[in-house]
Amino acid sequence: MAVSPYKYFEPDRMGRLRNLNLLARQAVEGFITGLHRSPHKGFSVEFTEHREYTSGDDIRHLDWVAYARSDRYYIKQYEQETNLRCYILLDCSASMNYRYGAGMTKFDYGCYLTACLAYLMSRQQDMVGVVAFDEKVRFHIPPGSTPAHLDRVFRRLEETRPSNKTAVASTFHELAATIAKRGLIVIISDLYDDPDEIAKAFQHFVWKRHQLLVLHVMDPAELDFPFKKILSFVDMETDEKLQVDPRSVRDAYVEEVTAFIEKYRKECGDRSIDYVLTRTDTPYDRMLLNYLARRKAAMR
Amino acid sequence: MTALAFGFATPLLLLGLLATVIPFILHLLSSVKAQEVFFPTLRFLKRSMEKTARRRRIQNWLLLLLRAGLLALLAFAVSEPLTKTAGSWFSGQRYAAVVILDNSMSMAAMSGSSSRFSQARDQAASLLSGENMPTMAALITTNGGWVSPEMTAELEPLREQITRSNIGAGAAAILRPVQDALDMLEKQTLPRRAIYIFSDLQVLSFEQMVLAQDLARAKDVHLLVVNTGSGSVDNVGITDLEVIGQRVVNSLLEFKVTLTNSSAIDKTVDVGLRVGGQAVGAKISKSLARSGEAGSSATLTFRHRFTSSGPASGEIYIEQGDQLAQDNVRRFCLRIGGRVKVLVVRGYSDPADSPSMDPAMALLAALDPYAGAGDAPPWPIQASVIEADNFASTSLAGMDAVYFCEMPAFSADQAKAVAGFVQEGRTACFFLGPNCNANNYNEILLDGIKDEGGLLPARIGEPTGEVSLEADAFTVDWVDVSHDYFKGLMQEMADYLTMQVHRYYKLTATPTPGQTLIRLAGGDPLAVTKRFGRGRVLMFASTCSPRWGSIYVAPVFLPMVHRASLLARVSQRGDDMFLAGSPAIIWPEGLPNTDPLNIQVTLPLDAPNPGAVVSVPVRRTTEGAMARFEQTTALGVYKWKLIADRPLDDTPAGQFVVNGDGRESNLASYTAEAFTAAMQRAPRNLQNVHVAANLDAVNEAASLAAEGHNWWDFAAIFAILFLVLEALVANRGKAKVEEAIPDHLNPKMAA
Repeated sequence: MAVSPYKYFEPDRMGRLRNLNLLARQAVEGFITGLHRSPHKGFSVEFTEHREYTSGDDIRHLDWVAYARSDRYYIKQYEQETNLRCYILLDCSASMNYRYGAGMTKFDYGCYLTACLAYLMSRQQDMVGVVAFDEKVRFHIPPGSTPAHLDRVFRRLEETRPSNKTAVASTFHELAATIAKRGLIVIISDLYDDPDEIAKAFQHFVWKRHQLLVLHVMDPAELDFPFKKILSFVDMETDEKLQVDPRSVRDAYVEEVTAFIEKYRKECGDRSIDYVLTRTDTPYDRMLLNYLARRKAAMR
Repeated sequence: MTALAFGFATPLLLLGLLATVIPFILHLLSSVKAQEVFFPTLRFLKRSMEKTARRRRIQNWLLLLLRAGLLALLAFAVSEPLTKTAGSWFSGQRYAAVVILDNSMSMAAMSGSSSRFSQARDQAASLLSGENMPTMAALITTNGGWVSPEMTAELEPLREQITRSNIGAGAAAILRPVQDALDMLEKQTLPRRAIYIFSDLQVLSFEQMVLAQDLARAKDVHLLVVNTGSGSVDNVGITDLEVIGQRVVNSLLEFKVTLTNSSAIDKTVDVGLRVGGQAVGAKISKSLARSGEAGSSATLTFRHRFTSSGPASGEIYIEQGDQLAQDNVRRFCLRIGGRVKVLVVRGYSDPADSPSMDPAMALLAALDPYAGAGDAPPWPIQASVIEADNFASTSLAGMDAVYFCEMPAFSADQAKAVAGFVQEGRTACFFLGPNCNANNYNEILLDGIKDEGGLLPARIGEPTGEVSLEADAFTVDWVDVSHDYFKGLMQEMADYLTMQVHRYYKLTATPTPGQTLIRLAGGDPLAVTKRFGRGRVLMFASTCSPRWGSIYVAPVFLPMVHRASLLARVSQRGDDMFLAGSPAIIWPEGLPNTDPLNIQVTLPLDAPNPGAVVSVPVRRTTEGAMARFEQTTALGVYKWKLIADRPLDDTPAGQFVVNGDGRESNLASYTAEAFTAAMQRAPRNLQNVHVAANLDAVNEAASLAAEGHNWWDFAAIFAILFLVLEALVANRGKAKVEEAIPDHLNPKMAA
């Protein structure tokens, strides 16, 4: 078993994602299709590094010298080869620190997703930036694609602890205004804010010609409300308390949560934003595989 | 149109309705301290609460109402709600009824302005005259009153009997009349049958019935009790009187009185003794604890010495009045005999000896210490002495007891005279001594008397022991202190064991052995007694003179011979005191030898018909002429006289007293609920038992039970339905699931 020096980077799972490279790339290309007329324009002569040849690569970029030395096919990578800038916006408010059962918190789940996506993007020479936020931006790592950049991302994720309230909409507006170049915006959050305001923030991104992927992370207990006895619920962000007989309000609660999710689903659908409801009891690698497979199928 | 009546079989259990407030109180007082648990956001919960607020409020109230309703229905069910068409028990219905009227002494207790009995009597009479009167009826009174032998449709005579009936003075056991009533009702073909008991539910009267095992046959009979005895009790009664001592002139008698308080409060009473209508001595004040507590009963003792012989009557009385006057007086009527006449036969006579060596003198001093004294105090025993040579059958005339002191020998005539004397109920006592011819005693008094194995209680053997200063005396190691001759004479056992003898005759058992009274340390008897005819024989193995021992100076000697002499008289007849309900035995004396003879008894003042005369025949028995008077229902003094078919110079007459049954003083009674419950329990299982304070109420209860429908099952079904609904509304099945909240969600644990 490979031992990782990073908390949120699991080589074993990455192994399981072996086929994800292509899948991710194809998917990303799908995204980029909306951004550029030709995804392969912009290859420059400024060489940066090699990468292993994979089926579909333009053989014009094969490094024959490297082939002669190592008997392996390598594609020469150039700075301008990357045609995608990806920003992962990770919610690190206090509500993300919730888990009901023995699984992981929403925040941990989000971190794993962030690390996984960053790794995959970097492998295909896409630039990935990470923004952690609660009611304001906690840290902002500009896009990059080098291993050193990836190391920085992983370590910052490990250092981050969820706290404070959520102010998703205002933060998104702020980021939409800040991120100048068009790119892929991946939002990982429980989206506990006013859906209408958040929808406006999504619109802000869209208006700035970004492509959006919303990964709505929810704990199963938030969706199913499995409580039975009378409990005093304490809001993790405000410490407010509310005594509730779960049996008497469960149906209404599930109805409310469902409406909340459906609201986002609709708002995203209306704006051609990919929306994925993500349960923390679903392994994140499987979730990504499923999503990317669906995405690919939708592109055909 | 008939009205619908509504009632309950056990209305007391309606108190359970109070339980319906419990859910409301719990609702108001309950404050659930819920466990705290982290949750990402309350926004959805708040909205859910708002949306469900109205439903939850309705649900809460519904739950409260269901729970209160459930409790109310349970209370309703156990109270057995009954409905019926009013009047259906009587209206147009033919039924047979046996009326049991309790006229025991406790019914004389006052309840308000009238006695329990008069109330019961009035109610019983109204049953037989009202519009709901039975078709067939019979009457039983518990205490010797008139009982109709068969059921009759002629109710008016029965009603008259009831109005004429009066209270008795004895106890009443209700069970027997109830069984008689059931016997009568079983012969009836009418569909409805009832036993009406008019009583005070006194525990004494009903406890047999409450415990009876064989009342199951009364299952189809309505048992209706009109209870006139409810309410508080205020009564202290004289429940027993025992006269202790020999009924002999100048003898001290003890009147031992038992007082019992059946009141609910502590009481203090003054008790006195009256003899011949005159108060004697000082009254005794006594405090008694309330009924049921230690000290609610006490014993007092009065002492009196009758100075003249003949019938003596009197009473013990409680000065304070109370609810039951009848038990405040306890009468007595004693036959006080004249001085007991004792003959001492001196067998030993030696003028050379000191008089102190004469056993007859020692005995005379013990029996009649004042003999010959001019101003001697009253003494119950009159003793005289004759020499052995002068003793003849005529010597025993008028005597109650004879003491033979070292009589050398008996002739056959003398022996026969003594045997006859004892057989008639008197006492003969033998002190054996140096001059006695043991063989003669055995031949004449033992073997020569064929009746009852001989007159002597033991066979006399050879004398044993040595009379000298050096020889050890034989000591007594056992005395039968339970025997009448010794009982209560001495306080300490050691005082009984002070006799010593140096020489005595060995006594051995005969085929009809006597009873050893005193035994020497070696195991030989010193004194033996036996019954002979109606009298008694007593024999000492040694003399009562100093010549063979020190019997005569032992502390127990004097009281013993004194007691033996007095008992010689007591063995004749008992006192003229009887309990109500028990037959009075009259022993007239001095009767002419003509038949027929009758005794005329005049009823006492407390009788229903005071002064009335009842005649009973005299019968001649082996124990003497006697008459048996059965009608001892009233308390008081009954006077009697002999009636012959020809005039008599001296008409035998006398009196006796009848006292109430002391147990009746305890007026404790069953409550209606306790009695009903006891009747309904196995093995009696009588469901048609109703108790009420008056006839209308008990009839109404009977009607409800007879015609009404018992809705308890419906109430129970509704209660179960409510329980199911409550479970559904409260989601109770799911609530049973235990839920463990992870520790990391607990704010306290997380902290």
